[in-house]
Amino acid sequence: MNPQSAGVEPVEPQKSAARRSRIRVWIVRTLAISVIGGILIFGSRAAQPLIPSLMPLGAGISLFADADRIGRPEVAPVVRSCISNVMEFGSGTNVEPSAAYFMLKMGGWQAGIFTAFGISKSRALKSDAELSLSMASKWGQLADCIYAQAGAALCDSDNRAAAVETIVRFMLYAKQTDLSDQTAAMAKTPRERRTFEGLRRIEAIRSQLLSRLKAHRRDGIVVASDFGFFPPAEISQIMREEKAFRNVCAG
Amino acid sequence: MINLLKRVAFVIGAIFVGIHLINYFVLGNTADYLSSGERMGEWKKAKIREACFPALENAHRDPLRPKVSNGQHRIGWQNLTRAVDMTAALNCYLVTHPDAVCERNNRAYIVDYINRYFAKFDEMLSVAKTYGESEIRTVENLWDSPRNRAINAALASNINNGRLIKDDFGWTAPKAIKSMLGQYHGTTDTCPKT
Repeated sequence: MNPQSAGVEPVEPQKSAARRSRIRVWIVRTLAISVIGGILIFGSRAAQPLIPSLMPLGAGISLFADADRIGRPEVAPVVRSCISNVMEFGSGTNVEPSAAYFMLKMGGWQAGIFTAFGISKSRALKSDAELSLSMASKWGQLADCIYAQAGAALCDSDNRAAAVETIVRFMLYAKQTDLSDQTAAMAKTPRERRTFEGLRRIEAIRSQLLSRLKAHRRDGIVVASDFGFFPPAEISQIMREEKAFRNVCAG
Repeated sequence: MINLLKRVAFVIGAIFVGIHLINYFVLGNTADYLSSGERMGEWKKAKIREACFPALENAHRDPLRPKVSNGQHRIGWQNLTRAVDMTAALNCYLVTHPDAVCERNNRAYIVDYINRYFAKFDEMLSVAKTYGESEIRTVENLWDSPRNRAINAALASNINNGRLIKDDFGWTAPKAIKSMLGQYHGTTDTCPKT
């Protein structure tokens, strides 16, 4: 039987067509894997500085949190009284506290974007660590002031939202400052010494905040669901290990 | 065949509805859906909008602008800014240029802006209700500045004189002026005839 007359290609051209097809599939797969891999590797690196700003609703507040428990942090009375400790606008400048809080949040975005695109280094602004340190310091001061308030004050849904958001943001920025790599011996220049001092202050604020958070957890002021699905590890641990002995907010 | 036609009609309908929903809710072109007629022109051609740009530039320096009387309020800065801007704009459209509403294109734009102005007030008031009486009073006081009172007076005058009528607003008439619009329904327009 003549294969050509039956409309079937000879065996050799069939084989070469199959080989070409396999090569094409292989090239497409390789390209797809490279693109996806590249996005995952480089994308995650680029997104890392933005993570504190990319948290749900701007940080740490669960999208599914009970609206009666978690309100609007920017208008919280505790933010009104504490934000002036963190954001300095100079005498005679009357900035609405909710606007100052917004600027602080945007500062995080700006720092994250600068770091992600390498603008900070090229324009000699600040290093990645210094940016994180500066943001951690600001959020830490704000959180410290908020957590220093009487526990019952945080029963207000807006105040509780502010307490949740500030501590989560602080923890995320503090993690980026990477204290473990910094030692006093390494700090030689005045700039390095200042950075090291800053890191020590961050660590002190961190310990104090965590201890206050434990107390608030025991008093039933905050619960695990207030912090959303993926809170920083330290906060998760406290929420898991500490139990509420009473509910200060119930009265 | 009928099934195919149904599917085609469904897809075309969905596209049509989708376009209008995006235009209304996303792009915010609510004025496109105001009642049409010889009284209402094209809001995009309203000259009053650009004429009032200078008023908006200085809105936050105006001593008669809406201000928060109570230091311990829960109004976000975006809403505060919006209240000041909207008041300055509407004040310019209705008070500074009292005859602007007589021009068809301006009327379409101003009617839509009146809707937005009252919608913002209602939105802020509904948020304030969750905080109680004190916050409600704070919001009401904010929207009761000398500029807001002048706007209310100008609105009452325009409705009284038939310059703004119920049909201009269609089904979107704000609650605050609905009864007034009904009361003066059928009033002759006193706009100068051109």
